[in-house]
Amino acid sequence: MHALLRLSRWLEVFARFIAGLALIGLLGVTVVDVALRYLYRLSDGAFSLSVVGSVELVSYLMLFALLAAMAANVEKSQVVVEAFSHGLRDSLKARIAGVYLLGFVVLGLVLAVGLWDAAVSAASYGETTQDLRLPMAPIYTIASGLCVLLGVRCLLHAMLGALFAHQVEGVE
Amino acid sequence: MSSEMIGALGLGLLLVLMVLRVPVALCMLIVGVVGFSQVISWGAAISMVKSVPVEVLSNYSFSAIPMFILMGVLAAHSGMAGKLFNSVRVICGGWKGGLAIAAVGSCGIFSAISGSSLATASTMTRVALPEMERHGYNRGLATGALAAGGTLGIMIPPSIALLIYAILTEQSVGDMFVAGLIPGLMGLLFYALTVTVVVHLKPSLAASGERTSWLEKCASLAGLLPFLGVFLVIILGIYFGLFTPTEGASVGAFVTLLYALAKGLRGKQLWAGVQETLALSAVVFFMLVGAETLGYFISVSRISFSISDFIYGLSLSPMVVMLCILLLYFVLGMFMDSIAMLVITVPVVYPIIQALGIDPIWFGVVTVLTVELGLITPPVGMNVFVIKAMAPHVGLGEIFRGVAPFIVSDFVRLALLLLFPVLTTYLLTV
Repeated sequence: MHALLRLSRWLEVFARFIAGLALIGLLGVTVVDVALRYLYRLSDGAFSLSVVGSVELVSYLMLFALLAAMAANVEKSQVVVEAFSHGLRDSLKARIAGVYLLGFVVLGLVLAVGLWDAAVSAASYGETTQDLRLPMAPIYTIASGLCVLLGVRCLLHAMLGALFAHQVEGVE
Repeated sequence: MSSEMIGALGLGLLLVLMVLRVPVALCMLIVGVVGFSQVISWGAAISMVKSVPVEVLSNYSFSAIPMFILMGVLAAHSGMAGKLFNSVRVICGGWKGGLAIAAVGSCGIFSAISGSSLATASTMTRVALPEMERHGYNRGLATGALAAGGTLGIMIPPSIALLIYAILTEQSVGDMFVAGLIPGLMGLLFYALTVTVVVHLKPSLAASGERTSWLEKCASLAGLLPFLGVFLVIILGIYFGLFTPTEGASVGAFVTLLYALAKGLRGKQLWAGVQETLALSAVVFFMLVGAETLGYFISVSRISFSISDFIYGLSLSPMVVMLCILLLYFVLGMFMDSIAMLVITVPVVYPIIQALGIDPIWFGVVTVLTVELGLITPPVGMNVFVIKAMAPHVGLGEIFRGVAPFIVSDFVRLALLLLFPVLTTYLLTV
């Protein structure tokens, strides 16, 4: 159990790092974009610097931030309707939660496969993003990796919950 | 089996899974995928699972959600909440029940930059409850005021619930925020009146605080400036077209970040704020991914149109239908999380509203207010649970009893908004 917890914790730290960086990047891109637009307006077009493809950048940074955040927090992020199961023992609730986490293992793996296929296809056709012309293959590959992370952390916590009745705080 | 029948069975299965403690997001995913496969095909359902989460998580409009959460989290971490409560306390703390009114007022102002009811309730409880207890306030009244005050976060703009409703129904986010302003301020006023009436009827529940001079009251207004500043930056920026409501969330978070840095918040604390934001965002986005998947199924099964046709065939007046829908929300609110309830039901209910010609903005505001009630009604009142977690020494029953007068006040507000839609739509016409 301790080995599983340690591995889960290590993956959580990694996912949090990615998510945090992406979120700060998201904030930075939007603020710089708004500021440059404001300067453009103030200077009647004399200052014409702008963030090209800011919407695109925000979209992909948000994708990375949220996939990583979901991977880091999956076991703590589930809302359950508690009204009909108040009487259950906490250990039983933990085991049930563990079993249900397997559903997110499936989601993570299906997503990872889908994104990996998309990455392979994008690489072979030289697909790029619309505004910045960034290659799509690495974007899909990173997203696919984060989905694997989501699946693996779900699997670890599914085992921790179902086999060892390990409890985490959720939202009820 | 007809697609409508599959749709109806799907919605039934959704309820069964929720009763079985399956996470709400997973319930929606399971029903969405299995239902879609039965109406279209398994291949199409798998393709949907591969694409929908990516669409949701990279949807530019949704970027406002983590940014509004970040803004609230940074405001809480930088001590803005404490200063806010102290300011409002100086202004009205001398009145009978003034600290409870100050708590409600602080919740209302804090929610103007927080957008989340739970964040508002937990932050203000930390700040205001010890002070009220120190002054001998009845714990039921103190915690009830905080639980109810916290719900203002869901209505006073910027509100994550209004934002999600706007995106789900393709309404203007700016219009939804503007429409929520008067009902939100009414809530603030009604809660303050509720405290006054309760304390008037039972004076032993609260003591009068220290009286303060007008000079002190004026000086204390300085504590409100950071909130006013952030709020004005967002609202004026949107109004003058400097940025969109979506960008406004990032700008607001950035201004709050600058304030936090000025107040000495550094690396570790800021990183903790970022991580708290991500954890809260994960809760919301798990549900949005599930809701979008369920939405595809509901769409192809045409169940919402069947329900809409059925209701239309009954020749009921729009107001009666509206009341039935709100009753449904009220009952669901007793068991479900507010955002979960919105994302599950809006795709089903919205076509009915459209068919009956009901104003979607008015409906959205009234719906969010009804959902807000679910945050403080038993047996599952999320705000009450948050306060219980922050104040373990106060009994759950005591908090629910304390919150009861505020529920009555919410019903009065709801009735007024139903009878006078202009209260919601007026600012949109100015």
